[in-house]
Amino acid sequence: MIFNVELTHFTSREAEEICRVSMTQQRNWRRYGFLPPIQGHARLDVFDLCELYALGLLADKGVSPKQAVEVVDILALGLAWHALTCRVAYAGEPHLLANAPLSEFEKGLSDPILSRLDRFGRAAFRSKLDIPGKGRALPARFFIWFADGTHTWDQSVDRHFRGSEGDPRTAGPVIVLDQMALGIDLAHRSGKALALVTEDDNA
Amino acid sequence: MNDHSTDHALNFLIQRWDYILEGAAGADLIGVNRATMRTRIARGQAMAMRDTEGRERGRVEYTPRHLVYNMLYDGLARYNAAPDDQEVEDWISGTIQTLYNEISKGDFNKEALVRAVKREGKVSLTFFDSFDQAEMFTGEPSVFVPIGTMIIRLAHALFAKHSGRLAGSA
Repeated sequence: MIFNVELTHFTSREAEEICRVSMTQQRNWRRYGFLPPIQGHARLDVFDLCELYALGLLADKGVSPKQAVEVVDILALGLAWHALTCRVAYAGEPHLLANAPLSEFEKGLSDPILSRLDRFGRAAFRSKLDIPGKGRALPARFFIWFADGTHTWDQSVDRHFRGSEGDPRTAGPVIVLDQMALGIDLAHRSGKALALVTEDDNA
Repeated sequence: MNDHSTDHALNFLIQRWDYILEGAAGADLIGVNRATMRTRIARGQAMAMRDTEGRERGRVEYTPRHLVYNMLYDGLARYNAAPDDQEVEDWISGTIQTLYNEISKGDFNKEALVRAVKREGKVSLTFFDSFDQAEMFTGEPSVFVPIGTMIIRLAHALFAKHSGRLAGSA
């Protein structure tokens, strides 16, 4: 069975509820170029939501949008990647959802979605989709922001700090964002599925 | 920084824990902007020696206890996780005392860290023995202050600075 996966769209007001970023703040960030501009009514999909969410999380921790914008797209990909691994992220005919394993839905995340991604995000999603010959680059679980404005990703915060004793950055306060927990949390808080699964009529 | 020199530095720190250290220019030692430190002192958000009337002294002076408190406070404040009520400030003071006791007894944990999260706008702090332990509690956006490492670096800085003075004056 072949599936189509169509991303759900959210309004700015829904995004305000999910990401806890006010509509005024969203508008300001778009005006200043920290988020992509929107023509007409906002129709935000999971990638847009995650970008907004990531910017909001960093802003809440005192990181200026000017600094945050450097990493927010990659951070958003990590969040979206984890959000889309949740079963709750998908809606559709009950028989489709019941019978098909999650990986089958993800195979439906085809080119239009991949075209939204850049840098390792493409590779990450391709590896998730398990497209042969495209390489594997999964987003690491933890995002770490250091006091000097630099950042890194790692699968383990403990391992990162143990392996960097000589690095002065690890002797100061850090922000740690668990992309897996936050992505899954976003999928649950969105109030409706992030993607709609349908059967491919052309198959 | 080997274990032997770290022990010396920590001993130095603990023996002078509540004494004003000459040359302990607080803001510079803990990497805080001087103007920021003055503002915090004025607002009662940073520790400094005060006179009997409760006013800070004309020339701001610190003890190692003050420096450790200010260092932890700054780590939290830098990421919007500064204590927002008396209860949290008391928690920090209690934690500083616990760290003092551990250093005194010689069982100081250099991997000790403090995690700050915000729940419904309120800052909540937790003490962990290591990142290994803390990693199980990272579901919320968190600020981690590796206070163990920071104290060791402060101890080394103070020890080096003061040893130089003693050697110079001998």
